[in-house]
Amino acid sequence: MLFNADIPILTLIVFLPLAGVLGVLATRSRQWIQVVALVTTLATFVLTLLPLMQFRPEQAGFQFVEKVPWIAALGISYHLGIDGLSLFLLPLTGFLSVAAILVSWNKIHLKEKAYFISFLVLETGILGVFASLDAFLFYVFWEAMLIPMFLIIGIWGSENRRYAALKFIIYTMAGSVFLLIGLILMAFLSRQLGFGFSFDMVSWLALKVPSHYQYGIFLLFFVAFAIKVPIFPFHTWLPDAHVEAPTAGSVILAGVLLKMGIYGILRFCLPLLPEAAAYFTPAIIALGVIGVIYGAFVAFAQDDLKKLVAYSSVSHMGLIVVGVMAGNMAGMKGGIIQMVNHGLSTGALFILVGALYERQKTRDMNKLGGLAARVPILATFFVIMTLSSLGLPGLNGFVGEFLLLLGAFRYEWWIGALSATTLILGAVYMLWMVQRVFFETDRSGRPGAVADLSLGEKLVMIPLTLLVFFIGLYPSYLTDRVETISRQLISAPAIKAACLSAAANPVQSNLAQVESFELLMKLGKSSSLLSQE
Amino acid sequence: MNMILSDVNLTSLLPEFILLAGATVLLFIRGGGRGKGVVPAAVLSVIAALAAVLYLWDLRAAGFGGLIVKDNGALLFQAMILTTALISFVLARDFLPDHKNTGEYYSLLLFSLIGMGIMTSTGDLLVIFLGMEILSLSLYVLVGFMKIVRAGMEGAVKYFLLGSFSSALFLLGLALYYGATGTTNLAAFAAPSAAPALMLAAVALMLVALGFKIAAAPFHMWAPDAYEGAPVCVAAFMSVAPKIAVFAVFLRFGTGISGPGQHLIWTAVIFMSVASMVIGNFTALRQSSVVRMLAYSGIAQAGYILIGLLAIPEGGASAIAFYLMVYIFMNMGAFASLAYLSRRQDKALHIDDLAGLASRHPWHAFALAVFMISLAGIPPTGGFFAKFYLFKVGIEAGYLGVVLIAIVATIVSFFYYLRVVMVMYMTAEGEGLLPMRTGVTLIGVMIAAIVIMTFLAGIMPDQFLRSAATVFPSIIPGM
Repeated sequence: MLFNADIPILTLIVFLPLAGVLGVLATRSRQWIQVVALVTTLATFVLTLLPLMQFRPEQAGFQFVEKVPWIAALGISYHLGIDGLSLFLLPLTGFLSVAAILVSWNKIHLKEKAYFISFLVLETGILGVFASLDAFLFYVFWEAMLIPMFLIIGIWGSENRRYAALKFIIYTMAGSVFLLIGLILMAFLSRQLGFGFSFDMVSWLALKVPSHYQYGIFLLFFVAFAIKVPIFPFHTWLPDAHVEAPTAGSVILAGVLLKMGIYGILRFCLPLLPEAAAYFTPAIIALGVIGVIYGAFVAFAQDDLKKLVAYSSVSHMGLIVVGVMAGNMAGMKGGIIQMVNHGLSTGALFILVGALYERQKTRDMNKLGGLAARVPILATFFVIMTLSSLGLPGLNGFVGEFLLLLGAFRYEWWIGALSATTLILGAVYMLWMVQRVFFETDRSGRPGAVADLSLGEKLVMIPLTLLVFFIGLYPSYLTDRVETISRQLISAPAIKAACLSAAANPVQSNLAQVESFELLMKLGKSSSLLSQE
Repeated sequence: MNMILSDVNLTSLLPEFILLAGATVLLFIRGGGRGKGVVPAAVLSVIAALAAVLYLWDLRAAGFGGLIVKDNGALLFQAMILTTALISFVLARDFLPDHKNTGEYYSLLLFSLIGMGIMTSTGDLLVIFLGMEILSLSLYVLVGFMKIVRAGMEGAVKYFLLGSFSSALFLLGLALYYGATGTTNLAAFAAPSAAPALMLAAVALMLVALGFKIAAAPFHMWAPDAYEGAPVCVAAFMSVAPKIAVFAVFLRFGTGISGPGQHLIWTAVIFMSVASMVIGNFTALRQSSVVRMLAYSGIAQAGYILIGLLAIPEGGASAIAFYLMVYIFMNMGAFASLAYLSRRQDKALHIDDLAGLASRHPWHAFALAVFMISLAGIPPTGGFFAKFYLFKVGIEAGYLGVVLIAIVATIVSFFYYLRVVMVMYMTAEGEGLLPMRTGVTLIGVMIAAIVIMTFLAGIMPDQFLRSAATVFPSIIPGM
């Protein structure tokens, strides 16, 4: 035991970055601002590892719970806690925040103080979202985190940054105010059903929301989360935000912020409103599949590296949506794990694209080429992350994608087949990107030497790569820990779905199960991946 | 109403008497530069009045045969008005040119405080009218206080003409009310009316007049011109304080009105609320002058607060009070920042003038950004909790539709509030014309304090809510 149970570990995690803001404010030189920011994020990251070590996978419900009344008159409390769903998102946030600070090292020449403060406030906001168990608190963090992101895109972004920043914030805020109405309605329902006016998400889990309320509230919730994910057709803010944001901003945006959407769906929509969730599942899965294919095709058409990676995110997030909505263990587990995987590999890709841009001053693939020989280390990491992103066995992306596709096949074979195009299309645009950037002939017209990765960048990329291999080779570390929560999450809508209709065809899903099982065996994966419903 | 001498009970008007003494003394003081001697006297009388408010707390002092009732609700609103005045003194001290920084200005402000004090603490329509006139007459003069500025005169004349028209409407409504009930006391609302049509007309006329005073659409036309023409310190004061007084009056009206006209009145309130939110927010989008933008934002804010009125038995009163309290901080704060920036300049400040402010005045830009974010209703500021609370009581009272319109209006408002933030932080400097000021100033310290209050109101609203719960049942009929 590294710490005893009385220490409010989650509070420390969430507010440590905010305390770091004071440190940054107190310093004057640029060097020290960076050091303070780095030390703060590193300390936060170390703290986020503690719950990971002490987490009891077999225990249902929330752990490390802290609860004190906050605004008692309105049934609002300061309530933190984590379960298998949020367990890995905290260290992911902690890790990518360190990465964000490291890749910005000595590269910010405008309002440095505000830059690092923004990142620290952002980190507090994100960690708060993942740790909150009170809906009001959740909402406060959810919204408060938008302002620093808005500033990061708008101040330190590239040419068209003001447009992108405004688009980002208006889109997401428009969604979240509807979320707010939904949360208030839930609190009223809680009172109506005899639990008192309360924003407590744990007590909400016990609510049996009347059917006629479920659909309206579900839509209010879903729009907010769908914009964040982003699910097609709510994705249009994403490419702009990504292209204009500074590298570190893109890393956090793709690595963590998008996960908040899926997290919201899994935390609110599925367990609280199972009937509406079951009702809307086909529509959401359809949107997810459209996202998978559409994102991939649009990514294929891009010349801008950042845009390509951004659209690949749309595609990958679409697949996660399909998986978690499919209502089976494989899809759910795959979705939760893929949130982490996508954060790692896409975050890494954005770091590398940013590094390339700094060196070549362009992200246009028509003006790059032949870089493998000139920046071998960068190229190596890039290829590894590309392969991870497109799901090569042995790397992390494979685990998630495989489970997700398995889930999709079990839901409907043709949904699975359509989703599986991501494997082909992903390979096409990703590998083509690698070919155009790193191989072929140099089109940059700048024959001089190009610096390879700096120390800071290497310090980020090496642990990222290790994690990519670790998850790829030892996936049961993750799958074991998300087992309990996945079972909980699929049970509620599944029961309702069984009552609502017999649409799911058991024969086909069994077939898919057998096939996939054999496939897995061949690949020598641990069978714990497939612990069945 | 027969009154005997023992009913008078002068203590019930203690704050007003103190203010009256201060206002009279101020007329005879000739201040030095930057309000030397004058400002301390004015501040002292307001603080003394605040002390009197504290003294009267829980006493439920009634006087003048029941015409004046200083219950806790009245005192709370009066304390809020006095706080607003204190902030505006600091602004005026900093903003007004020396030859205008005289006792006359502060004296007029104190008179307006007397008027608002009376408005908050009476249940009699005639006395409300008296208070309203004392308030309005002082404000008419204050708006045109900078005589040399042409826009100032235009705004003042417009405000005066429309204001007297609305006063006349209130008086007409009052006459009809007397005709319908035989009394000018608001308590007659509660009883079923013998002449419902007359009563309806009376209430409608008074609603129009009060709507004018808070600049709710469609009676808002005067506000942008008057705010722009007035000195910034006056605009700040008149964008907040009269709203507080009028909402105190609204709360006394309460839900008391009965009879067939009731739902018509509610429809009218809903209409005013929705129209204010829509017109205010959409028009604010197109403003280039900061003060005009804030004027339209004020119209929209009045629309939000009116939602609370719809929900009076369900905690609407404390939602309104909380919103107004936060509104003091965020709106006065925004105006204070402008006063600080546009000090002793004859030209109106444009949004583009703020370009690059974050580079030259990082703290100042931060403060203004906080006020904008709070006005937009983004956590963790007080503005968010205030809006959340209003929406909550609105939904509770069954006005989900109105709340949804408010939500859409809020989304629209993000554009213009955040535009200020964008201009300050995301535009290269060198385009603005603002003079640099360094060092610690009184107004700077005050702005910092307001920023802290804005955050505190968002992070720890619990204490306020608990005390509000004990205050409001006493003044609202039917609760």
